[in-house]
Amino acid sequence: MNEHTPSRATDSWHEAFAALPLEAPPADAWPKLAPHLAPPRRHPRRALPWAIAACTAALAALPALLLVRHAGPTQEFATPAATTRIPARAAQAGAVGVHADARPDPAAAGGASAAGSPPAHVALDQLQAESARLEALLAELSVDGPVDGAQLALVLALQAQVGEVDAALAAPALAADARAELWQHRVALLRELAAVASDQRWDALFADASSRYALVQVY
Amino acid sequence: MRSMSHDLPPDPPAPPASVPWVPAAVAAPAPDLRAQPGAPRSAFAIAVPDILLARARRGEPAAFEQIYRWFERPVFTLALRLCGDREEASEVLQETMLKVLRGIGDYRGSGPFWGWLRQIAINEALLRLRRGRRLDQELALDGHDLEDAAPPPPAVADAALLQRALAALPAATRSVLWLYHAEGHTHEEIAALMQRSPSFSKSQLARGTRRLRALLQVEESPA
Repeated sequence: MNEHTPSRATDSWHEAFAALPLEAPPADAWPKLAPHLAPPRRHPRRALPWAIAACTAALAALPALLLVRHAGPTQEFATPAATTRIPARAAQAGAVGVHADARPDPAAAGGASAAGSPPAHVALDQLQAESARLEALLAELSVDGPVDGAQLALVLALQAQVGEVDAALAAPALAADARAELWQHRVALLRELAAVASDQRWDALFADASSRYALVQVY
Repeated sequence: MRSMSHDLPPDPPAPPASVPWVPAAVAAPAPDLRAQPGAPRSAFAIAVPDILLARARRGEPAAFEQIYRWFERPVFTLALRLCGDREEASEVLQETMLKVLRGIGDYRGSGPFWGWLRQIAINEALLRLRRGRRLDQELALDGHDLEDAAPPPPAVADAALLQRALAALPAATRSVLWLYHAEGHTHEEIAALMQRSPSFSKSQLARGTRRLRALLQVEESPA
């Protein structure tokens, strides 16, 4: 404020005005005001487009994964599948826990499949190793902060499917082909979960920034 | 609630005397700068610590509430003096605080925070007067627009009488008087705020002061 130079008379008026008591509002307006000051909420995204994007990303990454796998040493894939770890957020939400079937398949233990294709137990080992790797990735990507509602719903749905697969894998008498199919399905589900977790991590890091680019982080 | 599309005013210039103030705790009562020599008289003259502003910029609800509590009464009082209605003053308070707290990131710190907040409050109150065409309510020319240099009557010390006399003035005249005497604005600043000329502010001040004096003298006389 620029200072004006009040005369003695206006000084007195100043003093008289300044001496007036402060008025209090008739009611406490803060309870009404506070809800309007909540941090901006991210727009809920619909699960379907997001799920399509996640599946597309997973499918797009599959050839690259296969190339890497074929180029690398075979021993790399001999790691047994570890116990499944689920993201902390999902655990808090009461998601069904999942476990990996680490037992060797007796039916496939000594057998070989048709000529030209890898032995069943090798393919199964690869799937189990991939499953373990994805679970480790999920554990690393888990976010403790608030997550998008649509993403959480998708995570829970995918985890429920993983639980169903695990329940099926726990069946004592399971044909080798069926077991391999179940493991393939399990790996696909875990890839989708990894895509979701990656997006959640991206959101946690960059708040309102678009999460579409997070898909590139999955692999 | 109306939409919040608005342009926040630029930071006002620094006050003539701002005393550095370090809070013992954020929950402390508002530090009133008016006791300092040469400090502005405005009830808004509250030094808000940088740490509290930083917390508010991060969106901390406790910081929002602290700022609200400190400025609740100065904003309501200003709005009541300008608008002359408690309900309308409550609405001005709410709108002002929403704009301030939502737009706190726009405050650039080139002037005191309280000055920035006060400008938003004044704009909000004047906006309501303008919408209701009450800014057209002013004292007419009476041929005596010279500054009233006489001291105010003794009754000016009676807060109730002064408030009643103020309430009897037209809205535009009352606003000029309040912005000049209570908030310490210059005629140029008042002209800018009210979208009028400095001579309008000067003439309304002169006429309003004379009317106020007359009202206070009437109040003083025995019934």
